[in-house]
Amino acid sequence: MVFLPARPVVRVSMAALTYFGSVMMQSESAEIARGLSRRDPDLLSRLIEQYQHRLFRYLVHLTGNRQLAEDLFQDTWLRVLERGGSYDGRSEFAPWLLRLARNLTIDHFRRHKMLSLDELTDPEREAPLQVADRRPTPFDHLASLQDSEKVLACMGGLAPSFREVLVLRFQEEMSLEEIAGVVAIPVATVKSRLYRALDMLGTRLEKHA
Amino acid sequence: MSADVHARAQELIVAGPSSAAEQRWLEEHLANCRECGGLLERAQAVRAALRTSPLMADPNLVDATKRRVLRFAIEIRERESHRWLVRLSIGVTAVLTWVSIPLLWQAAQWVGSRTPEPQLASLLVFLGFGLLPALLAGGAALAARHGSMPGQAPTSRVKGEL
Repeated sequence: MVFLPARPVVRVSMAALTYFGSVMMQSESAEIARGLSRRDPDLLSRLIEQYQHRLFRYLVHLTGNRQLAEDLFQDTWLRVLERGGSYDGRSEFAPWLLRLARNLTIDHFRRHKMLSLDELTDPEREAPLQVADRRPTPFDHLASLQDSEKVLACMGGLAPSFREVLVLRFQEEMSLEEIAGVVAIPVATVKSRLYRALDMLGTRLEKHA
Repeated sequence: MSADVHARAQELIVAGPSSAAEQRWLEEHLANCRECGGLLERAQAVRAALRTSPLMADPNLVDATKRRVLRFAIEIRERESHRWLVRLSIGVTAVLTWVSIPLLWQAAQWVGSRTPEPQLASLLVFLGFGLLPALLAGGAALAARHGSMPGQAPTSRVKGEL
């Protein structure tokens, strides 16, 4: 759970930090928008570096396929270069980027005769998501890692539309409004998807146990 | 406990409390509600699992992507500069044609007046010289367009790249 400080001085300091953070974010977003409208390759290179892991993680969880995620990763950045002029810089770049990636993924699935993200799910599939190479695991973390693998395995069996809200909320720490912007659904639907996803995950974990 | 209370608690679990008061309220609620406690546990399990097994983009993939983006940026710039040149040449040709039509007609009439068939000769001279720049400009535009045809983003990987 999020820790919230109770002391007024700390709260005021945090509010000031939040304010300055949002001002800086806006100026950074505006700078990105200007660079994208110029199709500045240096800026693109910096953005690829900065957002590589977030975008890649999202695509892997959305598609459930590492190879496809790599293809879509490249296509997303080419699309950013091509359509970067449509980013106005009034909101954060990351949700815009993920929305672009999501639309490309949907286009890909449509081309392959899958009408929606929900149709991708094979209910029998309980294989864990393809996790990247991991550093040597300390013995004392083994148990928790096994638990994590179990959770990821169960997540892999959920429909992509449920997986993606879980990843956006609990890994990318996006607000419900930001998720609604990426997924292009109302906030109420984001909430209900999160509840349902957690509920289904609980059922699957119980079955695994 | 009413359904509204559970709904509020569940919303705070997925959205996160926005004030200390909300957090206190949630903690009190969770102390007495197993159902909402279960939701919180699952949310924490997902968060922990996603963080203990971070997916990282392969550095080779990132480098290959940067190279493709750079190549595509150059391609787009070339395409745009070609397009600009074609537009400019068509515009200049159109203006020059429009300005030269009255002069050309006068010249055609002068040439026609020196032949046995003045009207036919004037018309032939006018059409011959009048259409010539347009034909040349059209040919040049077509040639330039043909030279800058790749109008699509490369959608498939280049062989040998990630």
